[in-house]
Amino acid sequence: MYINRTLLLVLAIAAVFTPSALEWVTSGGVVWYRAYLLWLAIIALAWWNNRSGYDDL
Amino acid sequence: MMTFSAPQLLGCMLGYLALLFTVGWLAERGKLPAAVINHPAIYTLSLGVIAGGLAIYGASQFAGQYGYSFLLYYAGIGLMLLLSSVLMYPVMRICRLYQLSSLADLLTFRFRSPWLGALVTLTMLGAMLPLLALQIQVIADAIHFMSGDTPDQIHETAVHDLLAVAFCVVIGTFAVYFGARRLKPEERHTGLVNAIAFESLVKLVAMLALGTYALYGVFEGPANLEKWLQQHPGAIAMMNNPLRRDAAHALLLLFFAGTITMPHIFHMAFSEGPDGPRLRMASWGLSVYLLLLSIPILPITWAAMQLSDGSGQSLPQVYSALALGLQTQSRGISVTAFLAGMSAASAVIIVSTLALANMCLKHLVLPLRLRVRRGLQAAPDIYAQLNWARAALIAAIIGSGYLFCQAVSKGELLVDLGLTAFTGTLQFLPGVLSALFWPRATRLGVTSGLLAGFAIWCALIVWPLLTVADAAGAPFGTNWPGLAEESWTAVCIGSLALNTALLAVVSLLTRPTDAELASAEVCSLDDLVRPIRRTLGLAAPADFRAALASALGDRAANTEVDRALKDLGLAETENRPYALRQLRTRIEANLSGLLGPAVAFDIMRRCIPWRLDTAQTSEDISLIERGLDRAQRSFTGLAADIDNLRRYHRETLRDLPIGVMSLGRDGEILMWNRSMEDATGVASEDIVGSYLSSLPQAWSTLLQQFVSSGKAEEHKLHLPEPDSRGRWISLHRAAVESSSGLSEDEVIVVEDLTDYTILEQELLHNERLASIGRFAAGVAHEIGNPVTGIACLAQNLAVENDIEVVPESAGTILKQTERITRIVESLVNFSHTGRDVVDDAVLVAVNLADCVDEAAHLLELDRSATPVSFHNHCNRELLVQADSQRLLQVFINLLGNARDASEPGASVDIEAEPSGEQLLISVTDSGVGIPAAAQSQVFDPFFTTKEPGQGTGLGLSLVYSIVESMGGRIQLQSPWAAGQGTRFTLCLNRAEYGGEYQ
Repeated sequence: MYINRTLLLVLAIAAVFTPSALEWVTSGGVVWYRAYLLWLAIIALAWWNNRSGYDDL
Repeated sequence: MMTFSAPQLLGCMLGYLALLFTVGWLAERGKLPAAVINHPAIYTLSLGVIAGGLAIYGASQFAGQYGYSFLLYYAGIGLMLLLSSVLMYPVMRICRLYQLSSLADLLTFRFRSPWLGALVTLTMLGAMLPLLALQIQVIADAIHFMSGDTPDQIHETAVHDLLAVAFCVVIGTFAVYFGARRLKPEERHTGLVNAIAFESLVKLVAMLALGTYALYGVFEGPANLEKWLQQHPGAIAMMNNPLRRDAAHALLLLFFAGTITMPHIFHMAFSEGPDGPRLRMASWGLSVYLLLLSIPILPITWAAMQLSDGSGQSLPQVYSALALGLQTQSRGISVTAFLAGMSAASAVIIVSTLALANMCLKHLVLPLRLRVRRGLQAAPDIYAQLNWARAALIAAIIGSGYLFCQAVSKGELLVDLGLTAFTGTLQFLPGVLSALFWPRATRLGVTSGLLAGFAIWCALIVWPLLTVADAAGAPFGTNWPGLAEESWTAVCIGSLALNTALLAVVSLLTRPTDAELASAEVCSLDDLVRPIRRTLGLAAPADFRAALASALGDRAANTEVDRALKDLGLAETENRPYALRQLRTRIEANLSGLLGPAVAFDIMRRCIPWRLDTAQTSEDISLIERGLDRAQRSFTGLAADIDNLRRYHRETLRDLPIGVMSLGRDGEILMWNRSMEDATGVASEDIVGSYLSSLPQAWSTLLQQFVSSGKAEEHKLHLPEPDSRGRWISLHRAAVESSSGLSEDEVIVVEDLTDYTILEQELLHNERLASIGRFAAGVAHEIGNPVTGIACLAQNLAVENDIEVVPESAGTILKQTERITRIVESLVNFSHTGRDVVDDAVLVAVNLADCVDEAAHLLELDRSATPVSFHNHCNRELLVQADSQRLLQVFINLLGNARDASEPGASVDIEAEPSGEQLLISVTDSGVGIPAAAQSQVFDPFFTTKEPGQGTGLGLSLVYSIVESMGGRIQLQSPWAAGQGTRFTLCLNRAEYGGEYQ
């Protein structure tokens, strides 16, 4: 099984920062869209991680 | 509240479904631009089927109760997409390669068990019924609320339920029309994919419109929303009311697993012909889609809360989107909300019933039929029959979903129904992961784990859902007896843990079968697994047709073989074992797409079995190479270095200026480098995977003889070629044992000696001409004497009157003439010798003593050489198997060397002695001998101890190659006696009188 390094890095960072990120999201009060900003960042990572590959499919 | 009449709702539904049909039909017929139909975004949008009724309506209820935790649904899916290279890609690769279209296909293929396939299908049906019921309930409830029913009246108006039934019938027809008519398993359902993508687009646009209306229509802008939130701290508090942490983790796992285990998602993601660009875009594009879809959820929920505060009338929170339009009396917004729910629900129903129908067909109906009839040949047209069976199954599954919906219809159970289905399909996760990453997993392990997990699911989640009297209220069964949030989490995680533990323990206690191991190798991406190359008993595609006809009937067998040949680009005359193995795999994959892997495996095992001789199996080098080439981009660090090293060595081997080929134990050619291509004119791709018999006749015969001879090497074999003098090659063999010890292949090195041999022949010819030159003086002298004698006799005869003297003189003249003739014949004979000295010539019986005499006589013609006397002691009856011309050359060279090494007047002795079937012939001189240091080199070309200009250094080298070519050998002893002299001993095969004699 092959796991690329970017992915491992992302997962490690996610494990470390998840509590802080959740705290940041829930402390927004009326700024209810903070969760979506976080989500956008994850999408950018997913795009970066999968910008190439799967060419043998 | 505003209401809609039944005909209005029916018109709305039929109008939308007609639009859906039109989109599907236009795409299927190619009426839409190809750039649109095949765009990767269409694949991404079609994956939007993931967001069903639960995501559109249920999310509001979830958000209302658990705040931001409703995002877990999207986060689970997003996590799976983030890990797509680890989980989705391998599944996609296997599904594409082996035409697998469902989880049951995948697990059956991996564990080679039709029983497991049937179990997975049955449990999947059970797990999916709540989800189907959810979608049907979404439609039914929406119809009720749109027509003005209150939550209390919801089950009292039968006409509205009939509308829901009509809706089910129409989308069932859609699924049959666009999904069940598949002629080729590898084809995409273009119509279906585009229609589902259209549905995803409709629900996205509808949700964005609803969100915009909530923000600007109800709250009149973001600033007012903020103000409203500040005035309603309960709404903010609601957002910060998270689930228990363990429940949150369980939900994340549930939705993460659902992305790969839910049949409708599996079908769209893996079965509809995805490729690299599509998966690349989907890995982030679907997250964007879900993000856009979920942004309006909170504004819609808050807007519904605000409207209910004002009016006092309210719909359940789960239908916040519907409440928006109904309470603001906005027909457009009401219809938009209705469309959003209808598009989401219909997409899930269409794709999941289609996927479930395929699973039932392949894993329940066909195996049962095969077991009963032992074949499918009774069917006049199995393709039409399959389509009808699939259509019937689609109808039956939608009907079951409706009945389940009626059975559990006790209120707003959307979230509970959804979670029940997701918890059921979660039980497949251990099986899928073990299929991909644990080659040691066995069918018994997976079966026992699945049964245990499913039993807990049935007993503790489904049973309360079916039996509880009133479940109205909060999600995940907080009102169910004994199944509160923490209990649900315990059941969910507990069932999964037991499932996994049983899978592991039972797998370790049982042994995987050979078929399971072979599939595990295909499924696993672990580089340590070695693909095995097995052999087939069939020799041509025609044999495949005959073999398959017994199970499929003539027509289907021919169709399937033709299709596989076309897919692989192979000809009907193909007979290479490698190609036939590919053909078998392709036919099995195509049949797997059509009939399911269990039936396909069973048919192939019965009709086209692998050979049982396991000793003949060896590693499939081609498969390993292809795997490594495919994985090249993934290698980093040490693995990349090793791969680069492998490529370097492979290129070195490929570009070596010497021919290299390798053979498997069964004689299949595994490697063929460029020098072999140049020498034989046969390209590597045409011959790798074939037997030696596929080579051109001359090469085939030569190599097969060498392989069967068992010799380690063969020198200077002549290979006749039609347009030239032919080719001379030397063959060397080495055994190569694989690292796994599974096989012992052979490497054969083919050394092309043609240029060397031609050069050698030319030099030999020159050497002979030089000898003839040296003989010239002697010849002149030898011929001069008899000519002088003849001239004298002729002068005498001219004046001779005595008639009696004439016959005597004539006799003398004739004798002298014979002498001249003999000299000339010897010279001509020698001059012809060796033109093609190492060509294959027929060996016949040759009189040894005569040959030695002739050589001695020729040498005596050389007046410039040291005068020695040659003593031929050979028995005149002895015969050797030789070519007389070549043997004469041998003796000329040996005796010539002996003479040159001897003192004037010395003698050179030639003796012969039988030794069994052979004859030992020695040439002994009494010369100075050969220094010990030079003895190992005397047979090398161009090595000489004579003065410059005295010898070419080719004589003994030629002797060596001639003796070898006649099947003999030569030895040297020096000094021979009393510290001087040299003896060359030839060992040649004896011959007997009676054969061809020279």
